[in-house]
Amino acid sequence: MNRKKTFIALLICTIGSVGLVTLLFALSEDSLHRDNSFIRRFPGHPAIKANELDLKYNSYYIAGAAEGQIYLGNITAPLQLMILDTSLRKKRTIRLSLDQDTLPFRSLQVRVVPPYFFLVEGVIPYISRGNITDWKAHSIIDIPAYFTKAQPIDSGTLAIRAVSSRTGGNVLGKISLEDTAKVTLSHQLLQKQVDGIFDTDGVMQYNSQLHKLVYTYFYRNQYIVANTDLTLNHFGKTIDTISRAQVEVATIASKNSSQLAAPALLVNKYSATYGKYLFVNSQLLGRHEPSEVWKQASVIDVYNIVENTYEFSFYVYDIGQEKLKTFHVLEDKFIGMIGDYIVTYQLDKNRFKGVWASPATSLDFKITSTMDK
Amino acid sequence: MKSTYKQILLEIICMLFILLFVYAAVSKLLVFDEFKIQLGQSPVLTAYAGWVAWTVPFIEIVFSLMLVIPKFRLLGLYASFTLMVMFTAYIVIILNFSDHIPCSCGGILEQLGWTEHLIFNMAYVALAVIGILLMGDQNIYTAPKKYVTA
Repeated sequence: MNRKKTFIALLICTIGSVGLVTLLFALSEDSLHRDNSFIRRFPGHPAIKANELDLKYNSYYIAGAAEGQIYLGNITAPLQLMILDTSLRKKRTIRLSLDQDTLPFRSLQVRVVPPYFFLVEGVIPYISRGNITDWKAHSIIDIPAYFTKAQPIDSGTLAIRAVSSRTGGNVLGKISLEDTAKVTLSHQLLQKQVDGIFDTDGVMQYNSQLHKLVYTYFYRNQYIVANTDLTLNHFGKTIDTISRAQVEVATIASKNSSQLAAPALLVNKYSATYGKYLFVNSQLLGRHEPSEVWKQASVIDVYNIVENTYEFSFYVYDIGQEKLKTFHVLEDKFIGMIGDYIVTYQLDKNRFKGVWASPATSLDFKITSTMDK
Repeated sequence: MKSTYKQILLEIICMLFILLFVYAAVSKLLVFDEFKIQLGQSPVLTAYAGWVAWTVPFIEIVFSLMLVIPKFRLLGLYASFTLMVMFTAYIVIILNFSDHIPCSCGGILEQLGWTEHLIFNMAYVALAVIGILLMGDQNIYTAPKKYVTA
């Protein structure tokens, strides 16, 4: 019958169109995840899950960790601070107080570096500082520059990332808060490959054991280790092969804005540093790695930033559908935020040799400004 | 007469398709560079954003024209059906298999959530099927000699 023919035709159209879209998707995925010409090492169990705690909300972020305490800020309640011990058993919540109450904050963030804490907001720009004994923040007036990232170096200095008025690209610098706020920028650290904004994006951390600023690029296999005077210590390489940021930037003339034209190839999603080590959550599958594991875990690559070497890797497992988002390392604890949860992994002291025991001064850098190409 | 109602229903369905396609095509072309960027961010289409960005509004207009011209109307309905199934498959893939969810539909459709979008698309798929069946019943353009009433 005619009807039958019609339905067969419709069926063919359906199968054809679903097939075509699926094929496009499969090919597109394939071209994004092909690079795996490097090999990771997975020796024994360098990190074993110790504890987890359901925080009920996913809006917490790690504001700092020191002396057995983890400080959690909350994006939706910027003046609230949760303090946990590293066993995740003792929990208390503190309300920070400000010396001024009407400020149009958009993304106020807390940074805790005992005995101080900072409140930072780069868009306004705004910085306040207080003591963790009374949790009262005192505003520092006249911050002379906008910034997009800030990490305290010591009680009077914050490392920042800002947009350079000279180059239009990202630049690392610092703000000194003594007397009047003073900004110093260093144009030699971040290196432009595409547009200087998207391609130089990354994670900025301060390593207070080595007194080094560590910046890990999102889109290329590189990290920067800088001294506190903003001079370059050395460039390090992550194990994958993406040395050029694969970022395409498009400009919308009518809106006078630019944005990513294609999903950029994310190499390093997040990083943390403690002692001699840099912990990097890579997004690239290495050779011989089962892709099934990647569906339920995130990989952490461990680098020794004193020797400038790759050490080994370990997995941090998802909780439900949620993957590891951000993390921090405090002595022998790896602290991760996964969805509503906070987890800790115990680092094996035999693998991470004597990092936390030795005083910072004994960790001398062996590399002096080696440049990778 | 029964067939008049069916004829009217068929006209309405075709008009709905023409309205959707012309609206979608124009709203894409008006902000073409933005549309192209959004497509590029789509995990399914990254590699093909360049030509897909031109092809989609182009075929939307061609399909509308086919629905206007009586001789091509049945073919136009099949084409519309196929396109709507592709859009639906695309949404399902995006929702289920992709890490990040972009949006690349123009104008008022951008306001729809993905689930509403899915329902909206499936309704259009159903409309196309009804249209095709109506045309098959009437057979007015494809095979006028074999006229049958249902």
